[in-house]
Amino acid sequence: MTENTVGTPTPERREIVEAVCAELEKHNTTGIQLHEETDVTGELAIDSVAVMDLMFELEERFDIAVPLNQLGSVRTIGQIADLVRSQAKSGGQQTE
Amino acid sequence: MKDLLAKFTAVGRQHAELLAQVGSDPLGVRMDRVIGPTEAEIEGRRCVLLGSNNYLGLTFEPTALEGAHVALDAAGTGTTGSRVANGSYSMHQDLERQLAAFFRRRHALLFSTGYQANVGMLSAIAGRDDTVLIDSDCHASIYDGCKLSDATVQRFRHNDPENLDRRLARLQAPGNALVVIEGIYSMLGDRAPVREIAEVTRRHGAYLMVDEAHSLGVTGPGARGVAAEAGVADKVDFIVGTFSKSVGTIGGFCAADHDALEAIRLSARAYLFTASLPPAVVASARCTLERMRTDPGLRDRLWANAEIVYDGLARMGFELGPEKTPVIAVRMPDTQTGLATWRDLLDAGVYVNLALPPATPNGNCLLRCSVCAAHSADQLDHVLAAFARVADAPDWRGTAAE
Ligand SMILES: Cc1ncc(COP(=O)(O)O)c(C=O)c1O
Repeated sequence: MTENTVGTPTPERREIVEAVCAELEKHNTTGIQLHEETDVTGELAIDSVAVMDLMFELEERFDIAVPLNQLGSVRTIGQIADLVRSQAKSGGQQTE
Repeated sequence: MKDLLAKFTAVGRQHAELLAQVGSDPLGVRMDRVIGPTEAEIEGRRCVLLGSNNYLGLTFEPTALEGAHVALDAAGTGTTGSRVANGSYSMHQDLERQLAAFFRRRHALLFSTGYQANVGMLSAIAGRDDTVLIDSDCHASIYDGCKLSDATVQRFRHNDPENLDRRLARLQAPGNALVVIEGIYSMLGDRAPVREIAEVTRRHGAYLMVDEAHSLGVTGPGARGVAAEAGVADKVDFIVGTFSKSVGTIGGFCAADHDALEAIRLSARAYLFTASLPPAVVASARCTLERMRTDPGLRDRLWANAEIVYDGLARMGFELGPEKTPVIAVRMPDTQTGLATWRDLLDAGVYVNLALPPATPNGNCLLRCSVCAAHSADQLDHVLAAFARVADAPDWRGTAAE
């Protein structure tokens, strides 16, 4: 992943982050305020299957297909957003 | 030095909480005595087994017991190695021929478990440029096989041929695509729409693998499973399955018409680097496969029993899986109710599987029931009476109370 979470987020990226947060909020039982650095499986205790299910919503919303291979290294909301954006940029499926 | 095992702290804590809540370990139930295919003694109590996956009740099939005894005495307790290193026993090859004939395929390959069949096949056939598309509800062994492959892996929405279609349409990778589904899904008991999925798969020139773990012996002409039931067995490239359910023993296999299956024997690491099935197991599988092929009455009894349990539970207001099959998932409103209900059922002499997320779809706690052809009418009465008491209890928080 080359994009970093520092710097002003482009509107496009912000839109993705908001979409990720909106989806995660449905599963958020902790009451923790969601932000880019929130660790999804750690802090939110959302299991790996729920994260994969979350990708369905994002894939449809942004018209992309994210390989499972790339999900393993993703921890934070910001990283999920970067993954979604890199897929959207490449215009479809990216191999590992 | 940090603590290597720190990652287990959370799991250990969750397990301890589970134990504290239930008063015994729902994930470590001990059967003190197995009384038959449908009954065992647990905590000093005779329990009806409604969570065995022993769909046809063939674990005590007389011909299999006898065949196993003969093989044990003749060939010993184990093969002590891989077939590639130690050699095959003739009975391994006989069973492979029998399996190939059973599924009307040219080739069959034996593995030591169904888990290894999926891991071995997927890791061998899906290469770096290929894409594997798996149904989201697929078994852990399919996920693990994908992980061990070098392929790109996508997950499509459960039982959704359109979602699969869109994914196949947008593939840009230079390699081949392989679609993996199950026949009857292990957790919710719903069938795959194999006909539609096979059509989509064909249209995109992709390959299709169907894991008939819970459907072999259970449905279809000749007990061949869901693809045969849907009349599209010829559109399935690889049939994978296990002996650990309807076949009543242990082992796994892949059947296919592709001649390369013989070369896969020399490539699949889960075949190469593990010991082959012991003689008694091979002999049992040979007998029970023959029994299920030639005795459709077993399937009739299984489905009649499934109907009794499904309809009975539905009448009580329990929320069940979408289809009436021998795998009946009873959705619990929350984990705590699930645990209490599971314990109440055990106290009433009924053993079901407690299934917790992430092993279940949609984060649900399920009481997973599997029906057996050998369940007697009395046993099913007993089961339904136990569920009825649970549903009537004042502290039951499920939909049944509403
Ligand atoms: C769909 C599916 N495939 C494979 C397996 C693994 O089978 P085995 O018990 O032979 O390893 C199971 C059973 O747990 C299963 O449900």
